[in-house]
Amino acid sequence: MRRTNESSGEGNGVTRRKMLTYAGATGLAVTVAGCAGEEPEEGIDDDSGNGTGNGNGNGNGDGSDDDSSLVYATTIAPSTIDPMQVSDNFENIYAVNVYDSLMMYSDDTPPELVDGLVVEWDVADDDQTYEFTLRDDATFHNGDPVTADDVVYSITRMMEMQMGMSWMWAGTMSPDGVSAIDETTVEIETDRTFAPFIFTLPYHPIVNEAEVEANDEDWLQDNDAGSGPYQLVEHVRNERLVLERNEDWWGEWPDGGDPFDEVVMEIVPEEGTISGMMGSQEADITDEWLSLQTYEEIGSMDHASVSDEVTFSPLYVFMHNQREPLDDVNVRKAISYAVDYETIVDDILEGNAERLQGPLPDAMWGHNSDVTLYDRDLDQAQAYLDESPYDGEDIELTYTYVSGLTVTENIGLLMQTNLAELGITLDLEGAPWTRITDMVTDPESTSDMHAIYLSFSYVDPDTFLYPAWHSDSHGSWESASWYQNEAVDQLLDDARTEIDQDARIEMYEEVQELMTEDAPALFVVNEAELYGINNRVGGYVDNGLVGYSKAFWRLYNQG
Amino acid sequence: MGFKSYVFRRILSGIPVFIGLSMLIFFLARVLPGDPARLALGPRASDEAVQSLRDQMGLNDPVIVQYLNYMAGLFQGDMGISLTTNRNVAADLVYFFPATFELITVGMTIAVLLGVPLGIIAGQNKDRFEDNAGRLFAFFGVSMPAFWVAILLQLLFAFYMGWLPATGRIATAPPRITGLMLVDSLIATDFAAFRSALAHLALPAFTLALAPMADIARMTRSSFIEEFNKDYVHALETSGIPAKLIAYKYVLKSSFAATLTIIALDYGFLIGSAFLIEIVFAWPGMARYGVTAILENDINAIVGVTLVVGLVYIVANMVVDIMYGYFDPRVRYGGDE
Repeated sequence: MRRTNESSGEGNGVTRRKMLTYAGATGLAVTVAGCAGEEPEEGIDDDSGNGTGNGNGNGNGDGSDDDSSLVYATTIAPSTIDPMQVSDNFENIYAVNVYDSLMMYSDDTPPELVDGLVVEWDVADDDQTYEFTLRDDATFHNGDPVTADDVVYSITRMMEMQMGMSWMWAGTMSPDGVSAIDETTVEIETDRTFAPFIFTLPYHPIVNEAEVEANDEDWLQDNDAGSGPYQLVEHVRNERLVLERNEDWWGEWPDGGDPFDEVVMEIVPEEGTISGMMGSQEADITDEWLSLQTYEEIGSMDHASVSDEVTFSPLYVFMHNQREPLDDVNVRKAISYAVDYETIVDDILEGNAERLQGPLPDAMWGHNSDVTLYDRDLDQAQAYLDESPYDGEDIELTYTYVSGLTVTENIGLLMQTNLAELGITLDLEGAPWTRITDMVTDPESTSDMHAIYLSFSYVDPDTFLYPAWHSDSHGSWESASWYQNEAVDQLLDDARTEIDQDARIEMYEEVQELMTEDAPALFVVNEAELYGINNRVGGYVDNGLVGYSKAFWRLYNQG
Repeated sequence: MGFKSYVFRRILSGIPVFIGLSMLIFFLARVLPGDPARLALGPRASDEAVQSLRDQMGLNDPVIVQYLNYMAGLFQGDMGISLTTNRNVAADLVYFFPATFELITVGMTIAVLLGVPLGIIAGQNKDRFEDNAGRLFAFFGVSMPAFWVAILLQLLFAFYMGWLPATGRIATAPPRITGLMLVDSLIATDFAAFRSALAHLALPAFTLALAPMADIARMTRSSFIEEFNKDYVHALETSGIPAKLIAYKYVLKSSFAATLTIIALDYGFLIGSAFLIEIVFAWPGMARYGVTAILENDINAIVGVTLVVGLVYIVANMVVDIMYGYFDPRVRYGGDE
């Protein structure tokens, strides 16, 4: 609810840091935690039954086998676990593990669309009518079969609630267009041709109609009505969610080891505590919201490592394309050449990032690897500035970033120095996330330069390009450049209504070419999301996808 | 004035304080920056959706109308919908408050059980080693930040020694009756759960207890010393009554009023400390709920939590006043002059 995946990148970064400022001594705690971290490891080897059973939130001390239990420790508590309301990463992790969708994502990078509850699907010539054939061996956790009626009910429920991930289908899908042809066939007629539609379906959980209807509205907050690989057995608000493996699940369990019979999602707001739990092996996987320092700490443990996959977290610095002097492409190019990207990657981000080539991360299909990669070249920068009617000294710009996000603040400081070499003055201004989303609704209040992480929702270039660069998207936090290019608009529109993927790739490649020539923003870096992980956990791959990056059913215990 | 009417008047006088507090909290929460509806719906939400949520929440009404509506709802147990949990704040508070209540009550019990004897020992040994050691302890107890102690204790007892759990309330919860794990597990005669609840309580409750323990020890010491110098104590001593008996039976009883005051005041104070302790120990209580509410600008939840905290303070103060009235009748008449 309160945090969509997008805002969580900003919002939680801020809040967590604020919390740390209050707590102050966490740095110390982490340091000490590290010292303590190595000892219990032996303790547990010597005395495994006792050590973990006692200290563990999930261990009952009743001798239950801890090896088959996986603990995911996170600083974030879910607002809701109703699958039609879930929106942030944590909530989606729950949803994708407990509920099946029509389609799912594989854990490749980029993730591929694979069949979920569907064995076959087909789109008619009008490019708007989809027919899905459901598998006949899927059952809900209470034993009921998954039917076409349940699918229709789930879609209707989501559209009517207008919460969670439902924005993905706004303007595309409405309850009227969904019908059950027979027991296992569902037809969806979309309101418009929307090529990425099929890629959004992995975020549409299917619930058991009979069960949801038989209970009150809050029932789904403590129970599940899904058919997924895990089922909810306990929900203690703000404390933990306990999932149990659904042995009747139709999908495949991993080769190479035993899947985890139990998954505990332990909510631990203090990251010093999470570090301690990783040290004593009470936790197996952390979330992505900890400080670099904590990840270093976890990385130095013998029994754990840090996953640092670079996937889909591009950081842009938007430039105001409709205000002087940034409305001049030469000024924008001069700035693009003046920034020291190498220092950003190596020092500010300590290597946990890659340079971003153009607007699209290269992990996404359709990425164009031939477009200009602006690297620091002061001569070039000066040459472009000379082409413009401005002198460096004439230019004074404001750069805003989400206050508390040290990475974007440090980038601002570095850019201040870099641009000073051209004579350009850069003023830094930190602002709370809520103020930034307000500022960018109007070209007047939008500042000259804005640092923002773009987010990722469905595996389609559209998810990055349309909300940020199509002129219809102006006024949202994702399009603070006020970029306007009719050719780009046209291509983005066409790509939405073209079903053929190869044709779409061509269009998106052209968009990227046009855009890098226009340099409407600094395409700074694609950041790695970091996760601490115990070495005993096999099968872990971060595919960068909301929810799907923690597909517990693909993990196994490798001892 | 009789004691009963004194108590009655004292309770009545709490009402305007509560109303004043509610106004203050309500208006302050309304001037927090950021649009709560936008925050609740996320940056992808359409302007129409945000407007409709604002209407639904009454945020477009004048603040005074919002306040009156809120107070009217409050008397029917409706504290508005939390933007983060989507539930009525009253339901959330009923869910989360017992955890905090249990934590601060056990914390206070530890503080009293340890603080009073420490104070007496120090008082009996004025200016000797025990007294100085006690003073040093009290100094640390009051001045060390609770969350820092919390992290240290957690490192030592949970991660290093592995004796106590680091986080959470209980391994497997008994059926919820009161929401207090110690009580519920006893009702369910589930002693394993009771032990687990105790083990989970140990570190956070002890951490919370440190500051009030030091307060109580200091207060007990000074009132004990004062009382000890009175003539009747010398009389008892000369009658050959054992020193221990004098200390615990006679002196403690009459010097305890001041300590009681401190206990009641610290009890209100403990809720404040709980805000940090609950974060460190992942204790799923009201204080943690409140921290999330503040960070997420969840205005109804902020108002709800702050009201409960304020109410605990008001009640604690009231209890202190009533106790004073009980122990020292002069206080009761003071108000009439």
